[in-house]
Amino acid sequence: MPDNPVSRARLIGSAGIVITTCAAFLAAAFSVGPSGLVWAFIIGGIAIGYAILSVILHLRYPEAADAAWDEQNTHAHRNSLIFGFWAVLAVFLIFLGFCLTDRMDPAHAFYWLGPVLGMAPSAHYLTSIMRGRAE
Amino acid sequence: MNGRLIVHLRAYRTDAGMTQAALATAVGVSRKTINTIENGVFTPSTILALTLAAELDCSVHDLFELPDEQE
Repeated sequence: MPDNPVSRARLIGSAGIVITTCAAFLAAAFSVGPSGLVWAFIIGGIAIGYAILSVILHLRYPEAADAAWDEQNTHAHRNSLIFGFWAVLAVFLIFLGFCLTDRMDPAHAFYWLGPVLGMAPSAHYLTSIMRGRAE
Repeated sequence: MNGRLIVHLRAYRTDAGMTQAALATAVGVSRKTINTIENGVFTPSTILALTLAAELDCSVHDLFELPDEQE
């Protein structure tokens, strides 16, 4: 766990988004647990909570924020956003195929693009942290 | 041009009696960034390289070196 409070919040926030989104996918796949709307509130609540916490920590610890967003972490973050773009494009095309072959409802496809959009960059960033390429 | 950069940062840092965390704080980056630079995983920008050299009171050429070209 990083000593830097901004890095620590970023790690916990990213992990929270990834874990809850994966849980929502699994719950939907096995048709268990709360509805998609409830999951949307859970995932969105974690993301918004992380954003608010991040703003507070940036204001409270400006030097730690600078170190947490140094050039290596900025580079890793940029790579995670690029990955997120391509991941969403790939999932969009897969869902489009499902919709055109009547295997998926377009409303569900549109709904699930949101969690993918939110999770993919966080998942990539977590991978960078685990590979020692970011903090 | 190919090949990895040869990094002498660790030697200069230890000679200066600094930990990775202390050097990271001094130049305003994370400890992980210092660690990955020392291990040759991350190549710093010119600005960061110059800042590290200034902090350790040496030249950028002392900290970083290109490998010999081998045909």
